[in-house]
Amino acid sequence: MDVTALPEECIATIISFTSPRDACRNSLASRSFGSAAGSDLVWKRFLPPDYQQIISESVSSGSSSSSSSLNNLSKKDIYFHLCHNPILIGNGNRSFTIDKLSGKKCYMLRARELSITWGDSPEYWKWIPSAKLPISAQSRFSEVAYLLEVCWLEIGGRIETKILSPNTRYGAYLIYTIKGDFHLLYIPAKVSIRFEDENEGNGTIAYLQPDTPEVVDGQVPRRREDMWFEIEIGEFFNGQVDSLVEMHLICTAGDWKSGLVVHGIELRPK
Amino acid sequence: MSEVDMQVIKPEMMKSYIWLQTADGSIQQVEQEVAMFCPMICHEILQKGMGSSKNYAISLPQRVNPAMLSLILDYCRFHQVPGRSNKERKSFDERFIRMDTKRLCELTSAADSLQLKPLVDLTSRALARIIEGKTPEEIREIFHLPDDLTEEEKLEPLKNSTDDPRIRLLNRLYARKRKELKERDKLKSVEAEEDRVDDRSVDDLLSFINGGNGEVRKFCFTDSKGVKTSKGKKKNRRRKDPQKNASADESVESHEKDSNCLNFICHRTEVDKLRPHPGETSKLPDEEDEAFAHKVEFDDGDIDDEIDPALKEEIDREVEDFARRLNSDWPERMQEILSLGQERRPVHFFH
Repeated sequence: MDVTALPEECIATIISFTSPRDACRNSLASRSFGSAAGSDLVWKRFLPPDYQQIISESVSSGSSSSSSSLNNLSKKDIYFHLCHNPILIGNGNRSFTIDKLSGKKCYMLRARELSITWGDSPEYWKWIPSAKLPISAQSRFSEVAYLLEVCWLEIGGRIETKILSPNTRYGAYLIYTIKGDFHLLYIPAKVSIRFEDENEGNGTIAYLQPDTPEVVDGQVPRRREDMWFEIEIGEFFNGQVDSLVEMHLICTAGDWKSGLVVHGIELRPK
Repeated sequence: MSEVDMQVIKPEMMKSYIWLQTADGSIQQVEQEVAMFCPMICHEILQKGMGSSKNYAISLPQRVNPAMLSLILDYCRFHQVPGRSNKERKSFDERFIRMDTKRLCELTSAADSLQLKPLVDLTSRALARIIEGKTPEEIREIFHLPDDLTEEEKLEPLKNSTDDPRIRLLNRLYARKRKELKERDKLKSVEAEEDRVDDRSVDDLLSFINGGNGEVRKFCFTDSKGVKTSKGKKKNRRRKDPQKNASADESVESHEKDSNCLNFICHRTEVDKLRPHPGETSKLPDEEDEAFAHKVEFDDGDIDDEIDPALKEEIDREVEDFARRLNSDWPERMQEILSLGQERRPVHFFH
């Protein structure tokens, strides 16, 4: 007997200690390897430990039958579904996905859940329902915030660290776009991130205007796959401590700014 | 010491030994406390009363040869001592697994057959470190696996990748259709302020977008071309409405699932369908990028107009078609789709 031909369950155990990318790539090695690489044993380990609870809390389709049908899929299919299809949780305030490479949790806070200074004043900010957005700027949430004009541009967000994947380095990104007649968005904003009990740390500079050349001394916007722009607010390491992360963007220099459309703030592993 | 002597002496006065027999027939004695560390052996002793003498030696699984047994017993001998610190155990483990890959594989197999999970995990992790980042050919070499996948099967994993911009565009179109259906369903059940938009007539909406409200005049659909498109789309939506009424609930669910199966199906079939129009499709990715590299307006008209309108209508029609089909024979179709998606190339639904 060829003792090097391990039983499939052993191969699955070995693969489960590698990474999702290895599992996918190496599913082509041989039939038995492919079968092991696609098994639930492997992908259960790649999924976040509490994924089932998160799915059951989701309100994305409004019907509980969808979350049970999700659970009927193989763990590998659930994994990829969660990578590409954000599910809404927390009364539609946040969306949840998985980072494809690492299997870690990603969240996006919607614009309504952020604290936008003057956000409730209709002369400064307007809330646009997603149905009216063009295909180039599809929103996963029900609405986005559109800046009519404001001098004091300040956006803040916070998230509990305990819902994030532990022992992971996260980046926080403002997801936004620019509407046609934008104004004064070339003025750099100051962005910062910190834990709730820390002192105000050093911020960095971020340029919201999309065409900003990369030679400047701060963050420049990046165009995402879903056609929104993003600017990094900051990064932090999520250890095991139960805390709150506060993200902040402020731009008060200059005159009346306008034309910003805020989708939300996304947190994903770096 | 002869066997007779061993039976006379009281058990408490000396270590008990267990007899183990490997597949090649050789028998050896092992301290009981060490052997009991393996669940499989433990079970044999306690449940079946085996192993107390040479004649009743415990037969070990075929995957355990004498060399592996010796390694496993070394492992057990160290770890079954209760007083060791975690640091000691960890450093023992690190030294222990320093062996060539072939032996690691054999050891994993042997430990697995003896149900010795801690050792299986240890060796598995070591092997995982070895295979990380390796190509399929290298993996085959390490594990002596046959190259037994057909060419077609090797193309299967592509369905999980959504990097093709055409596929992404299609997915966006499908997502938009799904969203429309969802909104319409929400309309039926909930009385929210947002419904205001849908309740207006088409002309109302057009005047709104064309500059009735000064603040958002450039928001979308600015040029006449764009207006035509949007008008066409709106008409489309209203036409579909009565049909969708009957299966409102199902359609929400079906489009939830769509996100799974459409990714499987559409990128094979839709991409194939796009091929007859080489002019348009080769334009698609570039134009998409160019339209947004510098222009940052919301002109929805743009991206829809980059696609040949005929093609767009075709896509619209097919989405409708597909949705209708899904709604009509939903349950068995779903089973079909899910099982097909797993095993083979999906059936072409569009012909």
